[in-house]
Amino acid sequence: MYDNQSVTSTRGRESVLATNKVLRNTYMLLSLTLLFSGLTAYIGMRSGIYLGVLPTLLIYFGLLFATEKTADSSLGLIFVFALTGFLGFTLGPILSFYLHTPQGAQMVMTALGGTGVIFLGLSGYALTTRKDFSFLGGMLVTGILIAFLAGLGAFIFNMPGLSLAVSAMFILLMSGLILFQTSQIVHGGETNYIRATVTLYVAIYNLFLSLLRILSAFSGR
Amino acid sequence: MGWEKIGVLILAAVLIIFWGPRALRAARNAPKGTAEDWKGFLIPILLVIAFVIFLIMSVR
Repeated sequence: MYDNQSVTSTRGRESVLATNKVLRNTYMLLSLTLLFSGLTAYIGMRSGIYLGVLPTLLIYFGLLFATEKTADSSLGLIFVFALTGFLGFTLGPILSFYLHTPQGAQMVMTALGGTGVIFLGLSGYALTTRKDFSFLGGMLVTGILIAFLAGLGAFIFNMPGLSLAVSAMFILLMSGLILFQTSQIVHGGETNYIRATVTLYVAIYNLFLSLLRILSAFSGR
Repeated sequence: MGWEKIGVLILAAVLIIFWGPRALRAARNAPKGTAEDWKGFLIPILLVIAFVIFLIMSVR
């Protein structure tokens, strides 16, 4: 009896240690990739290079696929920096556009601060309550696909109203994704910190862009 | 319609073909949340909505 309890307790402790390690590595890598993409965003702003929607999407999906396939090896780290660096670079022209509008700097800073508050608040909520949000998985996959396709539709058919609705949808979906991914790490559903970092990074990136789009639309500028 | 929009249209079709069935399978196989689970999800989401409204008011 004592031995069984001891084994269970040791396994439990190992599991908690493994979860903490994934969590620590994820937040460490996420911080580094955010800093790196800040640098590439600055380079993107200075260079003034705009790739266009189609090349951006093709490179993004290519790098996402490569990161996913190499996430179990050290090569995954190179691809995660390539992906986040590229996404940061694509932010350059967007930020440049907003910064050249009246009070654009204030709007960018508000969106940046808002993204930080939402991310920290939701992560803190999932970490402290330790609620299991795995039931959100199906809704998130379907919702993100629908929102993404609606976003493409808004681009193809020049529908700014739909684009704004997609931004609002993305804020809710990315908030759900942060809760889902953090709870997956806490409950041992995600043991790969590279995959966890990519998911959280993409959520933060989309949250920031959607917030910026909404703030810009409602500010009347 | 320019070449870029045609390319995006093709990409959307590819996404539906490859991602669509996966999304449906994931939605079908995902664990179902209880009323308590959904309440635990809706509270932070409502707070996010309130916070976004506050940010919109602050930039107007």
